[in-house]
Amino acid sequence: MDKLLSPNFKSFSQSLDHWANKTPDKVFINDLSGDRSYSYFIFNSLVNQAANLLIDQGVKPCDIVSINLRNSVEFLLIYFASIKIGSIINPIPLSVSEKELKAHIDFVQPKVIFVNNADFEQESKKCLVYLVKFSGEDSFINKLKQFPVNEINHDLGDSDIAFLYYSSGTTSKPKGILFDHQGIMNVIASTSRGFGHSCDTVHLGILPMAHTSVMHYSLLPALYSGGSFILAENFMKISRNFWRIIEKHKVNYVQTVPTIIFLLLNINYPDYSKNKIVLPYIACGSAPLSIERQKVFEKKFDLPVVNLYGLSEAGHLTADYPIENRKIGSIGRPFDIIDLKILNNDGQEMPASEVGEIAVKTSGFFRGYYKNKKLYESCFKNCYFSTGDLGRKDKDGWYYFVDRKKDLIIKAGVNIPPNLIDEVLVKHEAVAEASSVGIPDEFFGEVIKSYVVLNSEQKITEKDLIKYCQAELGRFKSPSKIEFISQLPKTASGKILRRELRQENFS
Amino acid sequence: MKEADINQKIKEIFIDIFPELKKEKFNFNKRQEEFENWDSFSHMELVARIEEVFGITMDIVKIINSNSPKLFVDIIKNSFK
Repeated sequence: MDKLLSPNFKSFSQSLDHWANKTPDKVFINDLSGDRSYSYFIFNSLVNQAANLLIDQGVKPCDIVSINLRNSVEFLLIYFASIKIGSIINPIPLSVSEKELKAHIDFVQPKVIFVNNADFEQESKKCLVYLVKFSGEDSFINKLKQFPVNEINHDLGDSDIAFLYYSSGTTSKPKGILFDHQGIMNVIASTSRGFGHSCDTVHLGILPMAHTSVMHYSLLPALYSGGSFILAENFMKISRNFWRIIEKHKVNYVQTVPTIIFLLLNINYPDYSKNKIVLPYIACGSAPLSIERQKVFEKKFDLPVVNLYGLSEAGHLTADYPIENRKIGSIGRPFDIIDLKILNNDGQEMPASEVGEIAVKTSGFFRGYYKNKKLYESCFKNCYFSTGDLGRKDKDGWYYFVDRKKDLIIKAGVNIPPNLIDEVLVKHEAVAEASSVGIPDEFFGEVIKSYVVLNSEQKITEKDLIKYCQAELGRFKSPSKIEFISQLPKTASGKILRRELRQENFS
Repeated sequence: MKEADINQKIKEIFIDIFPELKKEKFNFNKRQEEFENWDSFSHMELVARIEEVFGITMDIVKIINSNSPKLFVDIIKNSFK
């Protein structure tokens, strides 16, 4: 197929309409779990039906539509239907606990939430709950048949808010990140230019859709460029067939996290051959990948790893792509809409090679934190957003990630603020003080370890305290280990020294 | 440890991590791709629970390549030989 240029789209509603008219028969989504494929025309028709379903549910422009579903075509139909009618799509990761989900709903007050959990449907009284079934007579897709396929002619403004991304927040208070149509479009257009995506690009999506990574690096760039997207429910579902899928569908872009790189290195692939695939590299982001593991991967599969660096609030910042002349260990150079600086504490730019905080200015900025203007304003210094990460730039303009200034734990690529766990722990009657840190883990990159000081005469086992955390936070965000200590290390002013807790020999 | 005990404990661990299994007859040969929610996180949870319950340490390659309750049972049986 000739390379078709992407016009200057203002929204993803417009890009979907464009490709449905221009290349109606081309496969846009290929769903591996259902073994079904959807052309641009068919997918657009289904999105129109889903948009009419939303309207039928009483959803209006600027209403929030929450979605708590696994990777599926149904997820995507609701996602794009929300964009089409000018409502705000709010994906919620499946890893959140029931309590967190309820707290989040109290916080964002959606008009409707789409779930697959019938128990939740019965419990919630806070908003409309729509139960999505993936199969059977009353499946979501079958239910769409009763709605018209006519286009929804809502006039979307560039600066209308379209996305509300879930974030755990640095405390137990939920946090939401808002983006408008233009901001996301700028991020995706820049990413597509940076990687040279075109209508010939075939993306494989394996990461959870409720997180921005797979949506912003693969799904939306595929739509922007008129390409195709192979949809997997999750990596484990296809782990043994991973390279066969790459080969069969001629995949040329796949986004991973270090945990998946680790899995790929340890699963047996006796039939793998570099000559059978067209994939030029494998992309990896969300958490730092060690240089050693990158080298082992590249040697084993004869395939380069491209490192990506970005954040929810500002989109994609850097990539060590193109591969030629790149410097191993670097996070690469900025995308074309990114102005990146290394700043000192006073907001002044640091000389080359010196470490400071990575700060960014971009046309792909978020528009704010939901219901928290103060936090939004506190994140900027001289119009530059403070990433909370420490880095340096070499004389050739290559950037290097050094450390996190914030005390974030990054487990399997997911950011977990330690305060979130500490606040839950200290709510337990047996706990006087608690401090959680990330400790190295071969599989997840980091897992959570909490140090706990018990109230005098109180006793609780590590196992019971972990169970308590799991009930409050869900399993993913709960500590894997808890160590009871007599006192936490603190500064003279009483601030807990997490750096000391992170040291391997701390006890 | 008797095979029946290993089977029972493995079944309990799986049902704890995948509660939807309560609704169906437990099948030791059911494969990872047939489970609704068996992702990389639940995989590592399974491993952590199995190591804790049986007091064993599993080899990383075996861990990653175990994709059914039966394969976990086999690993445990071998570790007690």
